[in-house]
Amino acid sequence: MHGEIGARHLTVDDVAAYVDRGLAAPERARVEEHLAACAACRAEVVAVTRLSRTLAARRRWAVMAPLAAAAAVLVLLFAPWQRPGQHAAPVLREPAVTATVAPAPIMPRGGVATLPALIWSSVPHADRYQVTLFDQAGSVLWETHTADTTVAVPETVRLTPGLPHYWKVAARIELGRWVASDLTSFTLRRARPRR
Amino acid sequence: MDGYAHVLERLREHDCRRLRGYVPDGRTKFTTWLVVVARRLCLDFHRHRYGRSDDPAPDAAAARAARRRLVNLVAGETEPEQLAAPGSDPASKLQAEELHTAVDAATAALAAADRLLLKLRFDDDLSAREIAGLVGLPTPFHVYRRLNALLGELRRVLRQRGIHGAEP
Repeated sequence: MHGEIGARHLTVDDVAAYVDRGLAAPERARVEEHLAACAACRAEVVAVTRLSRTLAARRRWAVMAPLAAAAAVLVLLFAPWQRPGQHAAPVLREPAVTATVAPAPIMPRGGVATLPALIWSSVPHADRYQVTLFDQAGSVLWETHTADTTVAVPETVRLTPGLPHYWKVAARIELGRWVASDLTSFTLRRARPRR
Repeated sequence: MDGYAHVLERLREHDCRRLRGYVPDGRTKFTTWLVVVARRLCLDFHRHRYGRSDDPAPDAAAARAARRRLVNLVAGETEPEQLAAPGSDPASKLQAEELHTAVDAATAALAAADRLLLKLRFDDDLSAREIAGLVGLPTPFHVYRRLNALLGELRRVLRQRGIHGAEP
């Protein structure tokens, strides 16, 4: 093959040991002598070197990937900023409560034909709303508490058509802490129909 | 997948005779050894299925081309014009033939490791980086340095022979 005289191809052990550099000097010289003359064995050595290098790279990945995953899990489980057993959510929500928005009156505002109900936007964590209705002079006509974001005005409350009325709503976020809306005015265009 | 099954089958036959052939004497790792074995089995399978279509013709052509590259590199400054149109007239053809013979002879006088280096570089067309990993040189620069030294040595030998060859 390829002109070498009587030279047999390298054995499996020769090729593997040459690639791993495990040959003693005389052995190595013999293998190199053959490799210099035999293209087939040279091709084998080149291919095996490439293959085993790819394998080694993959093995490095195979070792490193689970290690990295384990490290990530450990960091997540025993993160110093998150003590176990303590839920992080309230800590995060606390600023949101202090900076809470006031309830916003939605209806009625401006000129309205009827007054079926008062409606306002909900406030996060509010467990109670206080609704106050004023006449044009600023006297309290009616006041009520509710957990809902809407309340019907009872018929006992007399509203004067054509004159402005005011209402506001306050939300209780926690005990003794209220957030009130601005005063909102509305005017009944005509007499409230009987319901 | 057939090839994979073939490899497993061959490894398993005769009570894993092949696998038990591995001698853990520290010369090689088992994985490297197994790569060699599995690759040979794959080649067997391929030959068995598709026939021995090992290309002697392209191989020979590549070898010729490599030799020409080497000759060009080594003898470029000695006789540049005679390689420009090889075979154009009998005289230059003869000269080219003579030069090739001279290069071959000079190369044959080198140590096996050096010949291997030249083969890997000019026959197999490997990168210096790959050659370094293969023959155990620390960096590609060591490969370049060694190759330059070898080419210089070949040029020197050729120049001597060129003088001798001109005499008769």
